[in-house]
Amino acid sequence: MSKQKNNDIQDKYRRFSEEMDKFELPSEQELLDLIQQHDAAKADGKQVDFTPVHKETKTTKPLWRYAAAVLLLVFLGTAAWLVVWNSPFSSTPNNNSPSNNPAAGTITADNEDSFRQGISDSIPPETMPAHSEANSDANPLLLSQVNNDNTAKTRNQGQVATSTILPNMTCEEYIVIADDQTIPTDSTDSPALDNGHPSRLTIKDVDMKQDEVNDRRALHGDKKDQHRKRHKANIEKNDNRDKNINVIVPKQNTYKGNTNFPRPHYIPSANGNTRVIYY
Amino acid sequence: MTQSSTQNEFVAMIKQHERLILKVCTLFSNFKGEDLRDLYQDAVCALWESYPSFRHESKESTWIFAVSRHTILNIMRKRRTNEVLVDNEITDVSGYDESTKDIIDELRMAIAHLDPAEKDIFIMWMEGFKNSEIAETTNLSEGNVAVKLTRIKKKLKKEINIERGIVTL
Repeated sequence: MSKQKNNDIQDKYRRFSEEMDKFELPSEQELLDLIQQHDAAKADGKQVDFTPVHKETKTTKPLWRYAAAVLLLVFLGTAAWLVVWNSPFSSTPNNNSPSNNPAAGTITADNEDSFRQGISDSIPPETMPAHSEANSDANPLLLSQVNNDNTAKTRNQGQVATSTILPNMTCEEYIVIADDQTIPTDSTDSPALDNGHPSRLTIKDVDMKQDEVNDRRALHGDKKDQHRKRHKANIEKNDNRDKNINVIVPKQNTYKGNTNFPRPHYIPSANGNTRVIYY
Repeated sequence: MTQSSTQNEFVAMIKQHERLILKVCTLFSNFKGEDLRDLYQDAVCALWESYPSFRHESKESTWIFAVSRHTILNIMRKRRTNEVLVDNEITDVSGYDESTKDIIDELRMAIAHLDPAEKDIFIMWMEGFKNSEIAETTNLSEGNVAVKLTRIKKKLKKEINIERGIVTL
């Protein structure tokens, strides 16, 4: 087998040699002429280049390289333009930068007007209800106007405060309450209304005094009690589960999961008025 | 020795080993037809330029093989750098009939998997050079040449098996 394979390659070479023998090569005289021409060319100082020039060869024209280079330049140019446009040194106005958007900065007495204007400009019209003093009473949800009338302001802001302290409310419930003009917004039922200023509500909750904390503990029990009650409830729930009794779990809070619910944002101003914006 | 007598002596030597030069031109290049003739003439001119330095200490065939191989490889390197050959066009103008083309292509394919040193050894071995002569040309020891020859044969067997669709593990 191995001899056969060796013979295969030898046979191929033998056949190759036979074919080479058929090849017509220059005669002695032609060889003499060739080397004499070679010597003459060398004596004339001509450079003797052994690389033959063939008609059958051609230099490739790499057009695709030019196309690739153009595409690369376009890509790099676009990337560079994007980088320059987004840089802080760009002269192109960038609406998202704080310097160009008065709504994105700190509110001071100097920039309050521009801040208000910026807020109005930055809110898309489809998300912000059209506000005017004429229809604000007809639609109590539109609480965004700055009103010097303390009564109206207090009433509207009271509605907002009432709605924000009831986190279990659904959107529909909120609208119903907001439509209800009989809610005593300036009464003590609306908690934490401090001079009709609902923005204090959050501050008051945060800065709760110790006696209020104690009152709340007295009303609801301290944390240990709450934990004990919860633990007891869990034990009862497990017992009921053991007894194959179905436990009805109350429905989850719809407010937290509802992202479409308009969330009020209070924007205090220097003159004591408050602007409420929903988004 | 006069110039003409040197020329005659050189031409006689070339005529004696012209088939060896042609085989080296064929196996170390991808040229055929007129291109191969051009290459052959270039090899002859290079041999003529090197002839004054030939001291006749080695066999003429060994010297011719070494010089022509070196010349052809240089030419091929230059061509590869400067321009791209279109094989189809060369094949079209080769003037070979189909059977000759097949034989040359088969042999080229068989030895294409050898590295240049192995190719030298194989061609010289097929041309009937002794191991000592191959060793002198390739700057290897005779023992190393023998070992390399064995490996070359194994490699070629494997290639032939693959060519025939026989896979051995």
